[in-house]
Amino acid sequence: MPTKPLLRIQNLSVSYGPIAAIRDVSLEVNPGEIVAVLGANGAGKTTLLRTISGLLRPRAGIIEFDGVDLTRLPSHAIAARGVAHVPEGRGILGRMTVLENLRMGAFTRRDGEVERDLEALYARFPILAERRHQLAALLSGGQQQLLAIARAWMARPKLMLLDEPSLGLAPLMVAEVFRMIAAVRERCAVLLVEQNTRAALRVADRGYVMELGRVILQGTARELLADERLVRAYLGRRSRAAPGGAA
Amino acid sequence: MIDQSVLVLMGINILMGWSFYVILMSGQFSFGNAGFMALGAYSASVATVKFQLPYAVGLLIAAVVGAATGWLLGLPALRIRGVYLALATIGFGFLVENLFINLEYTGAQVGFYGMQGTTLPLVYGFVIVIGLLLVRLEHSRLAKSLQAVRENEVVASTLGLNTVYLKLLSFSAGAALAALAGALYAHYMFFISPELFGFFQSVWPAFYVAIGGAGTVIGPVLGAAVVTLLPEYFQPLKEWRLLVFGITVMVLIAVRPQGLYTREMQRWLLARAAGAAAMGWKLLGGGVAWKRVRQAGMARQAGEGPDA
Amino acid sequence: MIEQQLLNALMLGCNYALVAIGYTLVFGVLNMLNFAHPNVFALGGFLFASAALLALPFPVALLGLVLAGALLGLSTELFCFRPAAHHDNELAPAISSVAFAMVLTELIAKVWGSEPVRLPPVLEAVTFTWGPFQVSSIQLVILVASFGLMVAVDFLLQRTKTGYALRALAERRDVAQLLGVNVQATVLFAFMLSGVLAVLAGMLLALRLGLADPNAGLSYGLRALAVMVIGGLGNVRGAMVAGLLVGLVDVMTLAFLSQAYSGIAAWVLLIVTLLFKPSGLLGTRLQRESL
Repeated sequence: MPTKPLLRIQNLSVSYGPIAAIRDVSLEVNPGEIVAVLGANGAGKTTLLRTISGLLRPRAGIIEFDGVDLTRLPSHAIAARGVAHVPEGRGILGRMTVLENLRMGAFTRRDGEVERDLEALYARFPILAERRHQLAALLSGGQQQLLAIARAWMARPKLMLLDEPSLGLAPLMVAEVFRMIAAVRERCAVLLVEQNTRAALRVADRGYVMELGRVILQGTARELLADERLVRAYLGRRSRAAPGGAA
Repeated sequence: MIDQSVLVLMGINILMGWSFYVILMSGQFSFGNAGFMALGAYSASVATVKFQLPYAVGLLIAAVVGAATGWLLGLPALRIRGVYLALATIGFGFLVENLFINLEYTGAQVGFYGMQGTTLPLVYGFVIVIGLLLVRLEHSRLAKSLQAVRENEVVASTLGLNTVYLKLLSFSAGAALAALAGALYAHYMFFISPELFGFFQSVWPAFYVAIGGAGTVIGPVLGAAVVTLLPEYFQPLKEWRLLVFGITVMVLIAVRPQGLYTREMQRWLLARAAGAAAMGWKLLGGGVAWKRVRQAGMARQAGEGPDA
Repeated sequence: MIEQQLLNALMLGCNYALVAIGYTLVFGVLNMLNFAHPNVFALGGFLFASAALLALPFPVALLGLVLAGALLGLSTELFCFRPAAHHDNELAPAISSVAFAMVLTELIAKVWGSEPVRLPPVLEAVTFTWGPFQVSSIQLVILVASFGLMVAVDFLLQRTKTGYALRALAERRDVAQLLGVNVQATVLFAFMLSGVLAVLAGMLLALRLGLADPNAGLSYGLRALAVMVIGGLGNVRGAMVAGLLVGLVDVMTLAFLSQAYSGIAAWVLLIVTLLFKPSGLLGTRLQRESL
């Protein structure tokens, strides 16, 4: 089904001064998809997300979102167009309460349905309701991650960028977080950067693997899980994970 | 022509600029150097006027008082950084000013007088000596250590640098410089009072560094020169002098926030100078070699020399 | 007698608080000190004095003051802080603001001279009695206005979108951007708001003293810097509490010690705060996350 991609990145190159972090990367995200970006530390995954959301400017290449060239827009305008970026480390506003963080998520919205969305969120994730008046800094790491994603969700984005949501979390929390990510797919597309390859590929539709700033592998989640090179490099030799099955 | 008094003040300002700069080298902001200046001024003045000690001794006392109080203040300052430190030093400045306002022994608000002895050569003697020391310091290991502390104190300490000692050293050295400047100032003006050492006096050195450049020893000199001399050139404007001066400073900083003279400029200049020197050496060397060849040639003709 | 001192302390404290809030707003969003702030504060007093001497109707004068404050704040951001924004030099913008402070001082001297300017009587001198307290009409106006302003600022920060934007920006600039906060516009707003607060605080001080004082800017205004730290850097409610505390201690030292020690209270309290609770009265131990 040929749909126009929601996000189209073509020949993107990003450098930190003289150091090239991303070299000639192209990728796509279609509406309703979860796309994973995998790779080791330093592969350029975080740089990729930061460039999409406007925190960094590329040296070359196109970033087209919903028909608009993002490379010319400032971050806040990109956010207003429906890109919600949850940065590495969650980016929680610790000095504000949970509720205030959630309201902050809806900052760019002009409709009147914010309260309704909040109620829906509380119903689905009671932990947020329980702690709504607590300072966000007092939440545990996993709870903060849930809050961060919920906050991004409150923006009613078309595309959510998630940077290593499972980082530093206990396995139980990781499962919870990925459950939330799967739920997010109902509303918007997700570009998911992860080092936890297995969990990412189980929730994603497609994936790209980056190494030293380039895309070295791409395909559907199924294909990637079965790929020899990937399995050996990132999943460990003994792993014979069946796609969709328990690890 | 520029009045001699302006030049003397410029020299003192250069020393004050360096006092700020030296402390800044370890990453600390001190907006209270007028306090050290006051301590130096008053201690030297008390020494020469009340105790009739020679001027040189007074200057020495000032420097020691400065270094000691700098060390003492530097100790609690170790624990606070950035803005907190800046504000604490501002507080220190006010406390010192308040001290001298209430100190009857040195004349309180009325002031203290009787000091003399500062001459233009003396001031610039200090400027040159200290300047040379600082320039020598610039390329030393100490400077690099200070820069490491300035950039990231935690990392510096894990690298084995004694950050406590370095910070204290830079703080007390800056304080000593300010105290020395204060003593020179007092003995030039003949009369001092606490209001001369208020908050603004502490901010001027920061001006010099901000305008001239914070990365080199020459930066504060340039800044002090600009700030001291510019109002003189604005004399014809009379009462509008300071206003125009203020606007000029704003423009200077807006146009060149990194300062007039940066480290990059210095490197460029030194590289050029090195190139020119190498060129000159070549020419000189070429000339000497030519002379030697001729001499050898003449010696051979005369039957002497190695090939004979 | 003590009641009068307490009233003084309250008014002085509110004044400190209002000026300190201005510092805090700018420091929160830029992590820098605006040294032109105390001079805008002083200028406010003079503008009000002129408005009163010209017998302008109060709403007109008030509007004029607010506009002047906003304009001065805008100018400070535009000329001092924005040009040096993208350089790593933390010193330059602050120094530029000192230069701007100089310009403002000279302007005041040019227009109004270097002597204080007396205010004409602006209010009917009525005295209200409330228990042991005897409050004049002017004092009442000052107190109501001061508290009103503080409540308004608190409301702005806690319940409006702009307030949220300011708080988010103060905490994490990158996250705020990602959430859709226009950093440049918000920073500008912070400056303009702090300018308005400074001018209005200057007006209230002039009302209390009965004159506009050229030295007020330097003395009270710089002490408000200490108030900011005592309350907690970047913490507006802290600035309010700290302002009241310092005002109280100030008045007490004036009453029980000599005039010569006036104003030193703020700095002593600052040093005490830095020694025992550097994060300030209401400051929390939350560190700024690194970008």
